[in-house]
Amino acid sequence: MIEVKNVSKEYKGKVALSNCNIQIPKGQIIGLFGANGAGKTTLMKCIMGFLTFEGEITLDGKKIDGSNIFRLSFATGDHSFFPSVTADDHKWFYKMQFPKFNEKRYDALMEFFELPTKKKISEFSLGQQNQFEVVLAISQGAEYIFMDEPFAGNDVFNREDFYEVLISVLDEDETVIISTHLIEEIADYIDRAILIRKSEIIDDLSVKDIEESGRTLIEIVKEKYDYRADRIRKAVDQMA
Amino acid sequence: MKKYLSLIFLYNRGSYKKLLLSAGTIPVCFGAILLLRTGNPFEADAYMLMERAFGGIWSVLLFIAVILIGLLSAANSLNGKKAAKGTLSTTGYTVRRLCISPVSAYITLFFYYLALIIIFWGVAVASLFIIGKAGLVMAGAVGIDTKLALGLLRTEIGHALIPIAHPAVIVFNIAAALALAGECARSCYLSWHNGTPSAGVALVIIPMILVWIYNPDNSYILLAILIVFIYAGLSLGDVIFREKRPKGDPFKVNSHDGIVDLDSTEFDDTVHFKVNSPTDLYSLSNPESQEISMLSRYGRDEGKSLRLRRRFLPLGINLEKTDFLWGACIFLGIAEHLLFFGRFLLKMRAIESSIKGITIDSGTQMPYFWELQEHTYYGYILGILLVLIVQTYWNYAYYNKETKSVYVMKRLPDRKEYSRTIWVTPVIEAVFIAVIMVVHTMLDLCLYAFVTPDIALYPDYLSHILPF
Repeated sequence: MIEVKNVSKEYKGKVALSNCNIQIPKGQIIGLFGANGAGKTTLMKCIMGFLTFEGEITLDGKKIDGSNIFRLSFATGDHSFFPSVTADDHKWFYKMQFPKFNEKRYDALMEFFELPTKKKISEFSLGQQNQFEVVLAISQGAEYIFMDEPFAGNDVFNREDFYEVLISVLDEDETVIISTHLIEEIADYIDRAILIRKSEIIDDLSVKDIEESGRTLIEIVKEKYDYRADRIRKAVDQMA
Repeated sequence: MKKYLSLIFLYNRGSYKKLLLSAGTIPVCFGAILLLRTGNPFEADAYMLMERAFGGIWSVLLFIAVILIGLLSAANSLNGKKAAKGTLSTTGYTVRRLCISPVSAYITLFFYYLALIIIFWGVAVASLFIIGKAGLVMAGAVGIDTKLALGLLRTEIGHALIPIAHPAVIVFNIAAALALAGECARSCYLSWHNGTPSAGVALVIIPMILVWIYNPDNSYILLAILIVFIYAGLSLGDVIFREKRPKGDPFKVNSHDGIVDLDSTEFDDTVHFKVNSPTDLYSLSNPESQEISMLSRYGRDEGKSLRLRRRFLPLGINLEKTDFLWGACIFLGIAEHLLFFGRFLLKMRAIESSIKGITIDSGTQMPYFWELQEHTYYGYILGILLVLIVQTYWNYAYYNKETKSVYVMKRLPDRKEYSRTIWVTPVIEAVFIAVIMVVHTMLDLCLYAFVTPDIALYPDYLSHILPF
């Protein structure tokens, strides 16, 4: 289990995360939702140990460092692959470096996304690059898979199919944490939703909580974020 | 005019901070040299202060290093951020869209680089003047202006930058500045043509170092001028020659007005530079088709000699750039060390003409080995330092700036792999250069011991092989 205790992060005096507390047990699919700049990516990078922070983050009671970081994988919009080599080369690299690399899963996902294996990643389209990033993260053999906006540049069919595939390929003890703005699309596939607003975790809802509230996830999110439905009318009126 | 300025400022805005930093480094370096060599200026002896502070080669080497770093920053910026994409054509697209003819682009960049060189030059002269004057004032010198002027002209750096009494050096400096600017412009030009950036800057820098450090006779300076001029001519000729090539001319679009189908005139994006592949990273034991195809794909079937070095380079890093740096550092060391050979030949000529039977004119003995070797290791030392600093930085920047592969590297179970692939190769390369230096010295020693007539050698020459 990953435990985030009282984690705060500042960028040059600007608060990016404020006193965050969450627990991420094994075997869940968790949606991390929030507006742009809310702190989703920062939280993920703090968990991965890429950023310094105040507070404590542990994996099974042990601080996350070089000795256990390989149990985590990370698909990021910044792209962590090596752009000037091919997908096949990445497969070799991952095979050599990660003992639990799941080659079968990698091959299946490459085929599913119809990604070329002999082409340099820099020659992929943006959507293909994002897909490849996700393929690597899922195939690494990690127990906790973090995905930061993994579906940018992908069409709706690809995304929906991918959710289905993701659900079916994951082992029971594998955990996925997805940060995305596509709340409605992903709502049916997640076990839990964590809402971040202005650097703070404002809610942590299980599927049961959502069901009991009698509302959909997007309705809850809109309420929590003080969504103003009249702002479209106002903007149109101003422009007219 | 606007579009020519766009060419420079559009693509060079990223480097202006680095250029300012490089220019600012010059006075800092000179100030540090003054302090290191004379100590506290308030307590220093004013006698020959300038000569003691700035005499010797260090000021010259630092100035050349700073000017090179500045020009490289500008070149990198003008070439566009292409490294991560694996192609070399980014800026070329814009040049075409600005509808600037290739030769115009080349000439624009030529003048831009020339201006940069002149600015660096001016900053260096002003820094020497101001720092020297401040040092003399603090040391309580009398007749400061005279001491400053004379002191500057007696030092290697002053002689190099303000050679008022040496017309040949003035001509050489002009030729070198023009050639350097031309070569930098050509380097950008070749990059836009999907070619390999030129290595020719080294061919200008080496004569500059030799002429500036050793202040040779006019005949040698004229020879250096000739080399630089011929080289500059070839360099410009190369640009013009390339323009006449019909195949792959990315500037065909300039003959059209309005919107054209850029795809038909696109660069040949299949031309990629060589990158480090997993085959090199891990000596894959299974020689099955996978490995063979990767080798041929990357053009890397030249043998195992360089595998060790590549094993510790980041996956996918530009090998051409890396190999070039390493080669240039080796070349720098060998070229500078050839000074021994020149000294030895001159001395041999004098000895041969003074041998009469079994006697030799007094005073024409072959100097001790170490005397001939003196000051011939600066190239190797500079090469070792360069390869250690620059390659380490490149490896780090590849993970953290060109790509974000640092996110993978920091998650590897093998925790040392990330740091290993940053610093091990530079160390291997530096050791290799050091080995070349030792072998080169051994060859010199063989030459010295076996070619010099016995009569011309001091009886105790073997005990003076080392400097101690």
